[in-house]
Amino acid sequence: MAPNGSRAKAKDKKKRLKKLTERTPCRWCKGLKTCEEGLARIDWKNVDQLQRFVTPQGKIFSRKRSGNCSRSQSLLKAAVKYARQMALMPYVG
Amino acid sequence: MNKYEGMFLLDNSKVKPDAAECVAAVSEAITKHGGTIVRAERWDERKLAYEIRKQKRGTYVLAHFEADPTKVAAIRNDVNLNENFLRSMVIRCGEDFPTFLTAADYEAMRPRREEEPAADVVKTDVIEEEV
Repeated sequence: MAPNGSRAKAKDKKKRLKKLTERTPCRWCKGLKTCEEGLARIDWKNVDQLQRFVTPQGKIFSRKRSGNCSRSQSLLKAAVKYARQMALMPYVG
Repeated sequence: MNKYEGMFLLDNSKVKPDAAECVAAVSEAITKHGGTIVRAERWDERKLAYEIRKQKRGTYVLAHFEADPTKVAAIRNDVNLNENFLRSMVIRCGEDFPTFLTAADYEAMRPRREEEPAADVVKTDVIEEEV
């Protein structure tokens, strides 16, 4: 095999890996000029909204699973914990 | 004076779950320490996610109020000692209050799935009449 072939394969693999690990834009900040607009929508009283980011048991999804950016995940985590404290959401399902 | 958003969970067995009494109980706790209420409303009466002091249901009151930062600890402490309150959450807002939304507003924002099939049924009825 020509040395070029293996190098091309390695390059291809690198490309594929990049595609796999590339993050899609965070659903809160997506399409907005500033992230603040989107992050302001996170509301600890909106149980329906929070429910989409927890398992049926009430465990918070990881960032990998929810696709949140670091800031939105941090705010969401706080929001879920506020909601738990007020008995709007369960601590354990 | 800072702006605060407070949510209070009232014991149904001690306070009547009607709007006037609940709001009165909350506003009394806040105004006692020199706070001024901007808006206070009964948020919802619902089943709790877990039992608190043997109670399975409770009434939520949401209040937007202004208070001296030094007095907020006193308000929190007072509410915690008061047996009519099951839980409380007082959070400082930034420059402005967030929009005041009751549980009914959140319910209205929720996407509905039942409406679409219902609309289909109406359409097919109309077609049959035309035929």
